[in-house]
Amino acid sequence: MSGQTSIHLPEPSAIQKAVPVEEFLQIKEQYDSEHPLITLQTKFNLAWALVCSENLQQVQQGLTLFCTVYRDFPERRLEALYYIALTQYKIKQYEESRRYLNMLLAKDPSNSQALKLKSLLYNAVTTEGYIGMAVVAGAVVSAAALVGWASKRIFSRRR
Amino acid sequence: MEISKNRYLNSKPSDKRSQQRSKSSQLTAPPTILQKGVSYWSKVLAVTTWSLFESNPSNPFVNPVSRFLRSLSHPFVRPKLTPANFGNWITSQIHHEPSVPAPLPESLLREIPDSNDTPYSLLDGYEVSETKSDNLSLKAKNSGSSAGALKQESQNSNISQASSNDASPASQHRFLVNYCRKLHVRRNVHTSELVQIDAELSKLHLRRRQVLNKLNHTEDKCLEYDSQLTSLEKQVLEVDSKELIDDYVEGNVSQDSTTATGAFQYSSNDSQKLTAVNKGTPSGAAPTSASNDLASDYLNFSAASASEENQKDEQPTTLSLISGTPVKQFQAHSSPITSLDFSHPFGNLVTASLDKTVKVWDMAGVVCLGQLEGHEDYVSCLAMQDSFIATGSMDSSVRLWNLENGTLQNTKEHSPSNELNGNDEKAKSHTKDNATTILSSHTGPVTALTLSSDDVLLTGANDKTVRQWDIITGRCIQTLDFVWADTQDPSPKLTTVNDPTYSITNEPFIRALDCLDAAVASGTVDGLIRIWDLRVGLPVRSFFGHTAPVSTLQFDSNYLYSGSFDNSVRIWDLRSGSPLDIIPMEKRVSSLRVCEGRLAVAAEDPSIRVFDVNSHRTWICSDYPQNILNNSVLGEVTPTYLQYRDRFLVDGKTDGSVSIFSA
Repeated sequence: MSGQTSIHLPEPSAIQKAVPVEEFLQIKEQYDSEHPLITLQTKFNLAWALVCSENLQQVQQGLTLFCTVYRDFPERRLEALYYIALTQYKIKQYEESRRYLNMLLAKDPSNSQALKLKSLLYNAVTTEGYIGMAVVAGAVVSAAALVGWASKRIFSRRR
Repeated sequence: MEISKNRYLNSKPSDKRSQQRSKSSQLTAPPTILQKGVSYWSKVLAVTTWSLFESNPSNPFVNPVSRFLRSLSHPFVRPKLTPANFGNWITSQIHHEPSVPAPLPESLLREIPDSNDTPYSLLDGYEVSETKSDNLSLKAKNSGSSAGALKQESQNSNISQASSNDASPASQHRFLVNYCRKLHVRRNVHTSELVQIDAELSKLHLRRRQVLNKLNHTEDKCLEYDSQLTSLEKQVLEVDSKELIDDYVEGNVSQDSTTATGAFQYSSNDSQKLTAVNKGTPSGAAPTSASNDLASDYLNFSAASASEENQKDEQPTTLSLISGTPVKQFQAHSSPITSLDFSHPFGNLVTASLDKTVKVWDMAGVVCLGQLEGHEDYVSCLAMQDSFIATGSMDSSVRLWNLENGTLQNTKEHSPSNELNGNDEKAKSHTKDNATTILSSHTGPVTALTLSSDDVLLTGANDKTVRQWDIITGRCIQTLDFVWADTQDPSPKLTTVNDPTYSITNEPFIRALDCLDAAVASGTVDGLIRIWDLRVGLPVRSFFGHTAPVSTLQFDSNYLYSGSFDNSVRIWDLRSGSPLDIIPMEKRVSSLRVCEGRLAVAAEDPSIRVFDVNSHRTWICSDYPQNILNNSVLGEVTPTYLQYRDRFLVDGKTDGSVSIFSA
């Protein structure tokens, strides 16, 4: 494992920036022109362009394409894992993202982008947890208030 | 400390989540960043609650609480809520809607290659793909997309710098290095593409070979079974034909006719049939004698067909005569009509007669639309197709007319006004010509003309030639010379003529012409019918049989029908060249036409006979009932020419009248 160069992967923040429209159209055209035998690079290009967009449907389409890439091209599985994890992170599927990322890190622990993604995931998860905690606390407090008020009423009645 | 914290964490949560929690070792990673205990513990708590509320997609049990909470806090996932969408949104949250595509199966996830030995990553390929314009896609190897964007612009400036003026060798070097790297990556991309395509190609070739094998196999089977089928059919046929022959032999014995061959029987029966109708005229004997002479000419007369026809003739000889329905009758000319033609039923009719006029009529209302002026002698033959008319006359010229060009002269204008104006008489003389084209290559009177639907015009004249014309340019394309054909292929000329009331010298050389595709049939004064090939210009077939000039003929792809002055109509088979049938008439046949399996024959008899070839029935088309015709002078008026198309029969008579029948 030593001496092996890490795969060049995009930064996790790169996924938030959408691809310009003309580029996207060009990529789509290339993809269509290669039908029915579409090469790996074209598939990847389209998938990457799709997941970078803001439309949820397109992101999901891109995710499907990445899964296809994973399935059909065994030699590219590590990269595909990263992209899938990144996409899941974007659509807030943190559990899934963590799963795939772990698999990637098992094989390639020193990938800087993957580690960055991992820390981002953790941050996002904790933020969610905070929110969840706040909700739980609020629920508990309101329940307690309700119980207190109800018991007070019962006490007053008894008296 | 870390280890104890781990253990503490692992003992806390519920069972379901413990599995995945134990797998993850990530929670030990952050403490390196955060040292403060409080923040760490709060994070731990947060993750716990997160796990509490989170629902694992692989977990079949949906945690509705977590889903609801998650949807509340995820503005990205939550759709834009409008009052209309709210109901849908609520219901979608309650039902477990798979908003995530199906995850990869576990088995696939196991097989991950250990190392990546491809020379380039997918992202590199993306960056250098040719969809981006060449000059702008030089992304630096350093990470950071925002920085990368800046770098891109700087690269742009670098490029412009490098191209415009050599700012510094270092920047140029940098630019070139990047560009080379990009090109290398691109090269790798294309190579891998080729590899992929080759793999697919080999797969397709394999498939092709398999399908080809299957095809060969199926073809062999097909041949085998076909041969079996044909042999079986042959057997069945043999059995059947044996039965037929037996039947025929039986049937033949019971016949009481004079001769043994089926041919004779048919002709004699026919003559008997006709004599029954015509109350036994003496000329009925002549046809039978003629047919007796020709008994030996009947070739290829299969027993089966003879027996069939015999059976049909056994039907009552007293024919139920069905009259063709007369439609109209009008007086067109003052002298016998030589030729006529019409464009379509109840359309335009053109008639020519011996009084040297050609008139155009509208058959719907029987109105004379005008005359075609130009010919110097009477028109002996004409043909019409829609608005195009071709006329051949005894002045050796052929004229082409187009009704749409207003070539008609109103007859009223030409009413004889000799006393009033001598100029008018000159104006109406035959030098005034309305024909669109005049074809004058013939050196003798034109006596036969035929026009086919693909614009082939043929005319025959007394100069013993048949000429083919180009309608548009008006030039003669081809000449079929009878004299030359005779020298090439001498045929037995029948010089004996039955009826001596006319001499051959006055008789037009060729009276009958018909054409079909590239074949022309000609009937001449010596009773010979020749079929010519227009592509070669030579006769390919000759039909001998008529003993008098052939006056009319027509042929289609199977049969040739001819009528001549020897009082007979003959039907010939084109493929074998042998005569199939003779229909004896009482008098000389002047004209015949075939239409849709019906043969209309005009002889020197006031009525026209229509024979149906399939059902062997016979009609009579006449203006007056039979009994009147026999006793009065009207019986002298006989049809000279008829035209029969689309069940519409038009005939012109010797007194210049035209009758229209539906037959």
